[in-house]
Amino acid sequence: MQYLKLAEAFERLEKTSSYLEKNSVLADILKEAQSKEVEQVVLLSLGRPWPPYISKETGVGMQQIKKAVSVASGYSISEIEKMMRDVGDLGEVARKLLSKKRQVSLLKEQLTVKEVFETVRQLAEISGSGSVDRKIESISKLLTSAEPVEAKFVVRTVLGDLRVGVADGRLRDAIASAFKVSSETVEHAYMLTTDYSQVAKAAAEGGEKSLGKLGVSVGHPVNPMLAQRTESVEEILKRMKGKCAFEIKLDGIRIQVHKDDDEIFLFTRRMEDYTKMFPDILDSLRKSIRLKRAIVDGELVAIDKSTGKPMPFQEVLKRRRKYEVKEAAKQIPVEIHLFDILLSEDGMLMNESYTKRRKILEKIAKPGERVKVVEQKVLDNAAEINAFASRAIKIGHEGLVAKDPDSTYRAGRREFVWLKLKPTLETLDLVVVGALYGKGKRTGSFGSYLLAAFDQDSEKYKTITKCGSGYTDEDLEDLTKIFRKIQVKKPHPDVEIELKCDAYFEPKVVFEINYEEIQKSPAEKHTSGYGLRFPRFVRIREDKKPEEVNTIDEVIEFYRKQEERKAKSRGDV
Amino acid sequence: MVKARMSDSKIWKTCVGSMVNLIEEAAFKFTPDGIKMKAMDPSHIALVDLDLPSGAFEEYSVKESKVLGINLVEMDRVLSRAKVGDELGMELDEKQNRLMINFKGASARKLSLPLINIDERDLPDPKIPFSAEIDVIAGVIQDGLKDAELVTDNVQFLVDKDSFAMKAEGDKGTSDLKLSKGDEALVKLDVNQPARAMFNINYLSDMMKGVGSSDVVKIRLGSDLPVQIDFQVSKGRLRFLLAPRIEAE
Repeated sequence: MQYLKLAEAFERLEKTSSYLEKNSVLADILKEAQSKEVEQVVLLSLGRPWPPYISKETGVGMQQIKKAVSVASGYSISEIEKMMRDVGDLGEVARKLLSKKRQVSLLKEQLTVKEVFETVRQLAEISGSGSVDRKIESISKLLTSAEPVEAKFVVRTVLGDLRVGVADGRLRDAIASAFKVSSETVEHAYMLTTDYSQVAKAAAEGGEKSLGKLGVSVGHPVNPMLAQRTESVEEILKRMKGKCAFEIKLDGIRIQVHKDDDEIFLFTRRMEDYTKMFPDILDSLRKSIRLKRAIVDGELVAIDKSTGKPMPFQEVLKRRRKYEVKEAAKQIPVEIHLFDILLSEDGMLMNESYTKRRKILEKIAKPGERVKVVEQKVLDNAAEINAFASRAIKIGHEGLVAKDPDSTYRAGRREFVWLKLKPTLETLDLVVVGALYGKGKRTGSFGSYLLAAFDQDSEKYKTITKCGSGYTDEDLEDLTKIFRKIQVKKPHPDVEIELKCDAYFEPKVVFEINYEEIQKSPAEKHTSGYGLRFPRFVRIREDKKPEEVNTIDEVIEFYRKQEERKAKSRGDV
Repeated sequence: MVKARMSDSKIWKTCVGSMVNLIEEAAFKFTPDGIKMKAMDPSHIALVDLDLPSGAFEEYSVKESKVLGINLVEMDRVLSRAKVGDELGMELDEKQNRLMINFKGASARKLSLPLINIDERDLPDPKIPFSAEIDVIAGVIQDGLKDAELVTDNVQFLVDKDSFAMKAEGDKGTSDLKLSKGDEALVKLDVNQPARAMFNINYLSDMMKGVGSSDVVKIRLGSDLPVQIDFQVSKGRLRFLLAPRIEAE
């Protein structure tokens, strides 16, 4: 396939905001690609020539691309920079300059999707002395043969900034309509493989049947199963029919461990490869997992060196770094607590029951210094459950997760078979001041709202959180209608906003929001100076006027209490 | 069997030295009649075309044509080990898939280079309607380029029936070199139609790097057309074709 076709499709995708049109442009280009090109088309549409879990990058910066554009177009770096200041996007600059090229070439070849894909992918492998020049040379080579519109998207792809609005959900629907398969099958296949290029290839080759054959494999992260929230032990027992397994819920980073012989990979909930950031637990994992090949699920927590107790989530986040990894490992040691197994040498276990998977996990995971198996109890009475929960909190954990003993592992799903039980928190009543459009199925209506608390000192509303969950599709539609009526062009004068929104509103409507934790937030993000972790829409408080929302002072008070509670549970006080 | 020997390694060294800055890898075709190589730089702005007949070698035996893929950077490095006046031998070691390079002077030395896989491509042989032929002493062009480099990235070649000129103009100033009919350094001037074209100095400098300053270069020029630059190397020739730049809008 000629790259020109893809570049022209990108151009259309960038220009339209209509969901239907985007879908048909994408579906058409997928249909047109030959089955061996589908993978490349999918990855290029998502903006990177690698599946999401491969943490590679081209390593090409602005300066190098400017040089390549200069070679191909015949314009000097200073001319390019001047234009860049006016236009603001190097892709657009490349398009403009190549349409009035000064440097003639002796031979012009048509770029193919394959050539662009392979060249960009190869950029990551160029290293050593002279690598900068060789990278520039590779890019110049593409640009020399590129049509202006091709140049625009080659430049953006190399920079890792495609910006044509192809998100996962859109791709799922486009694959479904291009190859006449159901969105659900596509989504499920994606949850197992985390790679739309594989999914699209299978769909192109053999439709539903081929999609059904896609499974999990070591080295490819699986979308993790998630837990629903619950309000009380009573609710859990009711939903679980009186009896279920309870695991201690840790406050860390969810990590999926893949073991392939001596090789270990660590993937996060968002399928990022974190292996390099935690070299200190790899050895322990190698020893503890007594299988040649396995995928296990766990939580990575930071440990307080002096007490040996777990530290809060923020601490383990400090380990997310590319440099001085060893130093950080000494400062903030981590442990991984395993609680599930998805794949063993005998094959996929996700369709087995929780009880069976837990048994297998206990058998194959030998606890070690840095590797633990999450403590678990099967319980059926509220008193015992409450006691277990308080003990978990007392030793510094978050609470419990209840698990249906018969449930299978449902990749990427958040269902009522895993339930979180955490100490109940206050909800906040906040006024809605802005919104962002939704993605995927929710395009066209607002998908998340920006909320503010009232500052009595300045008599202004100051933002505290964006909230994009807790709504049903119906809620979102209804809310969009309500908010359209009070939409204003610029942030309302009574509101202090730093975040950019797709729409701003008069501060009139009050939401009740629940959340897991109040955190400090930089003022350039949220003007209140505070933020909410895991905010969730509960309902519209039609009975409340905007003046009655929570005040910043109240938020500060909640924050103080929360920190006290945490300190107490850690044993600091 | 592929075997070639020349009494002065300098000839081959000059060839490789003039190409290495433009192309990193090259497919040399060893035919019974001589060595040929044609390649384009990655940006398709310059073309290198080498034709070195068997007569350029003291000993040359190639039974059937063979294409040898060579990393020019590596070969240039090996050739830099040749001493002035060393004899050069090249021989294909098919078993090891290497090219053996022998220097013979005060001592006999052997170095070898691994062969690489290169896709052989047919490159076009563009028919370009040049309107002027200019033969010049290389040193003059080299000087003109060095002057021009001080002020900008591009240099203009201008020719009319009486003279040949190189002009550059940039933010930092101007440079101007002129040769008139009858000047010693202007060996030949044959102009059908006056012509002017602009070229990137970096490319031209790279092409002129390997050549001796007293050698003659043959320039073929046409308005806004690629320039063709030929050097004689022993009994063969090394040709460059460089695409022009279009002058400001």
